[in-house]
Amino acid sequence: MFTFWDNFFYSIEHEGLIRIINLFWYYFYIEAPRFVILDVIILGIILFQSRRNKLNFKRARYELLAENPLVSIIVPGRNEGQHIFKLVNGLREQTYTNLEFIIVDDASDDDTYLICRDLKENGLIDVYLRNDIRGGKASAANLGLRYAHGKFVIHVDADTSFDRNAIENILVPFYMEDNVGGVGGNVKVRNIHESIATSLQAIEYLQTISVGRVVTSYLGIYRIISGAFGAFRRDVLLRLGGWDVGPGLDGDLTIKMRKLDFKIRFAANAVSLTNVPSSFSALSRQRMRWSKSLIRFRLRKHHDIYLPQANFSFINFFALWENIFYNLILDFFWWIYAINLLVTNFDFLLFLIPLKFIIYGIGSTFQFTLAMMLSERRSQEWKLFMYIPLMMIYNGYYMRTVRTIAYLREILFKSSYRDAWNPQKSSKKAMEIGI
Amino acid sequence: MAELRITKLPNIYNREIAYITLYEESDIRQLALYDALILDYTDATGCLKLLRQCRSSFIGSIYLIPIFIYSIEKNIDPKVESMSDGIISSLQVEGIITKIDKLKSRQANLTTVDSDTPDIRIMTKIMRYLYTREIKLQPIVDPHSSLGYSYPILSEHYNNGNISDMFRLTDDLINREFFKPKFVDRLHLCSNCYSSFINYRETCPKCGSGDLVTENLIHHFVCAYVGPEHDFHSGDYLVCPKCNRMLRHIGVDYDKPSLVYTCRNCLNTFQEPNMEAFCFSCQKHNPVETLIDKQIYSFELTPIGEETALHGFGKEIKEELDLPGFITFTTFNIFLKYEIERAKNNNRLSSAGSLILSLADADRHKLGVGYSKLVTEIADFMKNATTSTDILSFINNNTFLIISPDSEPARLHNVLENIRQSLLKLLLSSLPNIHINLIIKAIPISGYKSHNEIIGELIML
Repeated sequence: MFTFWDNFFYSIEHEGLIRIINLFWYYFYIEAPRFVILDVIILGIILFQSRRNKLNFKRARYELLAENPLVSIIVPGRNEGQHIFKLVNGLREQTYTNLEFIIVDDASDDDTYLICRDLKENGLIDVYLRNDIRGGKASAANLGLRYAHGKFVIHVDADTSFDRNAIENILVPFYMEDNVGGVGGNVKVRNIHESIATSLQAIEYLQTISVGRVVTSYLGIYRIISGAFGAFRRDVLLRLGGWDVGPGLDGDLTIKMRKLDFKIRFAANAVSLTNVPSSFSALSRQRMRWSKSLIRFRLRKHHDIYLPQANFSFINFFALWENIFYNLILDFFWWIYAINLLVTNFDFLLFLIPLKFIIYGIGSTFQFTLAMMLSERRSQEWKLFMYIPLMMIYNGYYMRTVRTIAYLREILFKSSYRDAWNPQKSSKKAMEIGI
Repeated sequence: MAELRITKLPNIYNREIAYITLYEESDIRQLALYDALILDYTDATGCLKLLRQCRSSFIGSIYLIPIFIYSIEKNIDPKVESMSDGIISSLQVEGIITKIDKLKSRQANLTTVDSDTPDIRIMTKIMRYLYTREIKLQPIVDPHSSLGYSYPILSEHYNNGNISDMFRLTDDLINREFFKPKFVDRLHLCSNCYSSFINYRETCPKCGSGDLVTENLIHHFVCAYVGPEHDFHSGDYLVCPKCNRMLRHIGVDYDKPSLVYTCRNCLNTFQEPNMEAFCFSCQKHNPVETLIDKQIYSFELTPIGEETALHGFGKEIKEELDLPGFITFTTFNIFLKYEIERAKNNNRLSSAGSLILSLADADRHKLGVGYSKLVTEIADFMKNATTSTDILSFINNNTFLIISPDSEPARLHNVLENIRQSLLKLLLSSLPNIHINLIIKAIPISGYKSHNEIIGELIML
């Protein structure tokens, strides 16, 4: 063992830092500048502007509370009865109270009907709509939208829970700037310690949502308001016709809003908690679905964003291109890089793996530290630090493999149209017209 | 006063049969003189009116009189038919003589009774009518009754305002085991007036208005738009308001996943309206869950009911508890008859008395099985407080009877009063939360009253 580490450090010294950087150019030239350095710079700027931001937030909050607009909370779902009572009770604890609760039951075959009817009779929900024939999540959300009366619509998943000021905080950005069409809430993991899979996802959510979306929102390239917790101006939603056939309908809606030149913002202080898949098989299925939507919507349906045309917007082009570049192109490119690294540096292989662990570990630690700096519940979340070493395997190999398979399936077979998540009658029609 | 036009129908059977053709306001007591009546149905209204007058009378010879309807047409008012003893198409009396005789002979079996309370009078009357006719009390559909059904004769005593009293009476008849019920229909009645003339309507859960419109929801598959059907109307076509595509084929382009209601009064949209039952009789808006669920039965006289019809109340009673030292009611009757005979022959005065245990239903319910224990304790007390020559019996689950031979009523009354006072003190301490009433009676056993009359007097409250 002593000999291994002796050789390891000898090799580093002998080979030199330049070779190491050249070996890991993918990380040092592509991933680190984007996901570490840029995050640090932007967060630094935000910190620098924090006094001004706080004043602006305070003013906007005052405006919101003075106007006190009606806000419709739409909860579309199928067989979510067990969550509805907790959700409604939780939302009644909110600091913002002018709320209209709309539950849309997409042909549930559990006790959802009985539970919702009871809640309705007791005045805990305002509108309960039930479809006897399943139509899918988009149609359920659209039905809720059709009968919503609020100035703003908040779309939530039934198994989401909220900090007491979450609704208030997600509404404030509409009053901080003009022309904000939608605001995404900060979604964190509730079942954080249920399994290794949930702990790793908790770290991932902290990095990509709690930190990542602050950065993309600041840069104006924030492109997905999570379906678990997102607020929209109702008039904008009506103009867009609401949600289109999924899966991936939340990202699709955000792009449609961007195309109409509405700003999309992220509210880091509007915190919600959701349960994430606790097994890697369930997680793989979920991520397959999410990843396919990148091809289906950002590459196919909204391909016009990349084309020079009358409505061309550089910021939208950049927002989607950045997404496509880092998630799709570099994903395939990484496999070439990895194979090449193995073939050409086979003699160095013994040292490559521990070296990569160290490099990625340092990067992940840095990202995690940033997330902890922003977190409002760091006392609970810092324990996730022990899982940081596994993040290299989780992000670097596991997620990349799942994504790659999903991309290939969607590119070659358009398999998202056969996903059972959506009723076949809708997927079939959507496929026919290529959306 | 105008008169009825009555023609006596001559016959070889020596029966006084009246044929009535003209109906005017008149004193119906004169009809008791006839053996039977034949009412001409040409004036259907007058016919029904007289029939009702006869059947609603409390005079046995009138309400029990055989009445036939003479009509050559087939469509007879079911109410008339139900209260008559038959429809005839000829005035030849041969066809009805047998029936008249049978009715008369059964009527002759009836003992004269006095009934104190209106309920008892009606019960007796109905049971006697059923007994003489050997029929069931069959409800008939009656659109003119707020209940929707009427019972021949019985309903004559309960107009639309006191239908609940009629149900109370029939329930009482069932509980006393005079009537055996058979299910006919189930009604939902207004909680205020027992009317079944009710309009069920859907109302807005928000404002209560019944001015609602219902629409199908349409789900357009391609773009996932869902909205009420009118969103899609474009002339004769259905066009999606979101994507402007024409909806051509249900199941392929679109479906209709559910219905929505919109209130035209407050514009509230909902899928589950409230159900309300509006009573046309008293105009009350009833929530459907408050409607009274009542079953309509046909009733058949039980053997106990027949016995009561024949001899009046008091005879139907059965011995329910086997109390040591107490004789059965049948034996008690034998002793009573013997005492009556003794009084007749020897001119000796004996007394009969009763102690009736009266409890409110709620208290009776509260006591549950403890009631038997209470009765047994009272029986023990009575046995100890009376002499060995006294004859004791227990009937009707609440009445203790006593024959005190060679004893004056005043003495028996004193004995019973002492028993009553002592029992009340005892029960007050052992059952402080139960309100117990003990009623005593003591009457002479003379040779002038039948045993039925004496029993009747003793058990009537």
